[in-house]
Amino acid sequence: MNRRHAPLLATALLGLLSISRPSLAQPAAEPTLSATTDSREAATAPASAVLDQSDALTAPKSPAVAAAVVATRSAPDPAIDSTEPAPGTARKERPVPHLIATEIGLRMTYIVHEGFDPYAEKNGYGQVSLAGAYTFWQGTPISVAAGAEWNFGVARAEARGDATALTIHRLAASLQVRYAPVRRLSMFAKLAPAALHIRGDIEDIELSQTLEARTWTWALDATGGAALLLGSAGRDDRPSASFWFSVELGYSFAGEVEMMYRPDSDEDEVRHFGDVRLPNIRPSGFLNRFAFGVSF
Amino acid sequence: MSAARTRDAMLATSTRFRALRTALAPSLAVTSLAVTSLATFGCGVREEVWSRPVGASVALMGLRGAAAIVDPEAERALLFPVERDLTLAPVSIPIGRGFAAAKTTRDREQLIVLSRGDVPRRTAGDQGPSMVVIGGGTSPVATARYTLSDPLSGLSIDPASTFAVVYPSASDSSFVQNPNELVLIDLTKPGGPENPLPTSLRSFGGRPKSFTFTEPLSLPGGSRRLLVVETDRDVALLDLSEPAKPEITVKLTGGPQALEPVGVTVSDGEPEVDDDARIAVRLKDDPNVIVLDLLPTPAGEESASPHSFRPTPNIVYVGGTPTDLAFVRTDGGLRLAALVPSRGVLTLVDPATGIGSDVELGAPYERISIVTDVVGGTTNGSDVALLWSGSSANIAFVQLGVTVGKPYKSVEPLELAQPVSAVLDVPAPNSHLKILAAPDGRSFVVLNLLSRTAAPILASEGGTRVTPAPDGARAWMFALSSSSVALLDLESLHPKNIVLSYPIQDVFDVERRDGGRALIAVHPLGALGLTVLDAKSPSLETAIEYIAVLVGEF
Repeated sequence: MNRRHAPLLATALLGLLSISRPSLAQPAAEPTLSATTDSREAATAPASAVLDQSDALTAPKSPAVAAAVVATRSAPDPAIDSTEPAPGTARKERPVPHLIATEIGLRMTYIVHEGFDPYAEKNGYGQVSLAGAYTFWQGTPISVAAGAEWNFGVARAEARGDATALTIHRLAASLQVRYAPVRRLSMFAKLAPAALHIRGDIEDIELSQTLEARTWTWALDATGGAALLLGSAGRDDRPSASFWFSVELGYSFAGEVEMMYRPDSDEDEVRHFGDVRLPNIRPSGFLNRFAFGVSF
Repeated sequence: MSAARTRDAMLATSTRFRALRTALAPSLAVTSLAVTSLATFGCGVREEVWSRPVGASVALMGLRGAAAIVDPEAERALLFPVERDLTLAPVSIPIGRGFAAAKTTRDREQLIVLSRGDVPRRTAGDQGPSMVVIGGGTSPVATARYTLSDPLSGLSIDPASTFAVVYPSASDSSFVQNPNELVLIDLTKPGGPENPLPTSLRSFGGRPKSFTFTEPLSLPGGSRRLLVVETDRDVALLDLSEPAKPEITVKLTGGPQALEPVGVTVSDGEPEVDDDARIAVRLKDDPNVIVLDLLPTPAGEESASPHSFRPTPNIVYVGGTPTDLAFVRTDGGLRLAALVPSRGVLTLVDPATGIGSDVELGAPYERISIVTDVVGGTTNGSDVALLWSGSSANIAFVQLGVTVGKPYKSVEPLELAQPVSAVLDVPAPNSHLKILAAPDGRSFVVLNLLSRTAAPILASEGGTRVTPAPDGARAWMFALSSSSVALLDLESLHPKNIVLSYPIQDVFDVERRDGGRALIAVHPLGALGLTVLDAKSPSLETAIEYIAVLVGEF
């Protein structure tokens, strides 16, 4: 760890300190990106009935038990989501949780390895992130999901007067554990092993050649984050889609690879080329990712 | 009623406020994470070297086992030894900041790189001036580093690879400078308090401009080597066996007009005699030659002088401004030969008596080279000299024996098509050959000293350069900004032309790691390209090209 990691550490600390603690007095949280079929049974209770917070935490499994706890709502105020229900108001019923989630966002890795220097003037490396997840176990408020990600990004710079580019495709499978203490907020921890396809390009205009290096390596992301519910479409108890904004922080471990460059020659090329070696690169570092997602 | 309503309203308001706060809290948390994470994206800096383009000050040199590229912007020397399959195995050696000069030793076994360091030095981390010695074999490695006290740019290397001299060149521009301060480095010893050894020449207003390292001379007090320093108005002698001793300065200028030395030649005399060594100094635009006899220190002055010898100057008139000097052996003994093209003669002067005699040449010649070792001496061990000129298309062989009435045996001219601007020596086993280059860069002659034949070799492009291979078997010819290179077999004189992919800046014939030989052609485009060919059987089918080599190999 060195001083170059300080900004990211400060970011993580600031974010974690600003997250409010979940309160047991809050009404039941709306479902997060994860959902299970078990909870659908609980959701078949009368529309006017809502679950008491304690019941919500124990996640009743049978409609009979859920129906036994009934409260009448006289004047619901959709603007209120307080720690204590207003006098005369009824609690909201937990919506039907969603099983499938998709996301699109931006992932940024802070790569301090010296092998990254030829391709970027700063240490940040941005990638477009596409992800999908399926919740295969739904508890309340904890759920577990499996997912897949594809991240793609290009870093460009000049090295010794030649234009360079570093393209990394990251294909990852993820295992995510979620905790939803309140309706609008879900926190998660994720492990995502990945395969990285790394491609480097060096364009030497005067020599009229573009050098390429292609290689593969492994990666493992360990992250944690939070997702904020922005809104839902459809009924309150059975939204057809929910819209989320998520942020995650963590660290990406990766293997170190050689970067050996030579011109990309086709079958008709009769010239023989040797390799020019640039510094090895290890694309690991602190990462942050934010994304907009839809669950349904 | 109104009180209850007010109370309910207040409760509802506070409840809404708490609800709003609760709703905002996670939003703020997530948003702050996103915003601050974005801020860190632009942090960090990379090593400066990547932002520095390949500069025009890249220096190219050939060593015995590798081609060398001094990359000042990256503060390194990049060496390229060659494997059996013609692939390169680059080695990067740091040289320090402020590259000043680089030279190879005559045997190409070492590369010496001089750096000025950081100027000015403000922090403890700033580098000082230094000199790096890099081994030039097939596994290059830095063998020595010497720390210098001052950032100087002048560098002169001993032909015997024993010493190096660092001195202030014209490009050094310190606020205050002593132009006569030299730094002598013994390359056979590691750095220490006495190595490098700074010394300041006593001067009469001049500054050093040329250095000559002599062979071992039989001098009073023992055999030793001398460093002859030519300034713009005097000559200084340093005893290399005891460099800490003060130098001996020979003042050449006595009157208002400064006499500028423009070349020296040295003779050891008879090996078994220790008081007949001499140094001849040619002067600019002057018909006189200063001959320094290195005699014993006069009796009675030994205690006052730190040296066991003393140079005694004699002025020898040669009849015209000489363009070249050499000590030669004739049937009559040692003579100082001075070429005087204005009179078309070679003046032979007895250094002991100062008496001279002229050899009529019939044409103006400007340069002389003793070729006795190649062609063999005359009956009495006299020398044979080769003369050539850059203004007339003639060369001549002069046998310096004595025949009746003449101080020479013969002058054998050889007429060429073009004047000669340079004579290149060919290493053994073809040391009997010389390659003569004409000023136009198109006409070359392979001169056979034994058969006295001159074979013309023509190039289609002006500015063509020729480089004999270190093994003496061939010569390489190429033209700047042309992509063609030719192998000239020096046995058969058959040229083999090869067209490479890019224009060539220089070529180096080096020893491969398996003992074979390779040619490395350097292309001065972009981040530099290299083409590697088999030197004995060059072919594009086996050639390997390397693109943008200076971007990598850190």
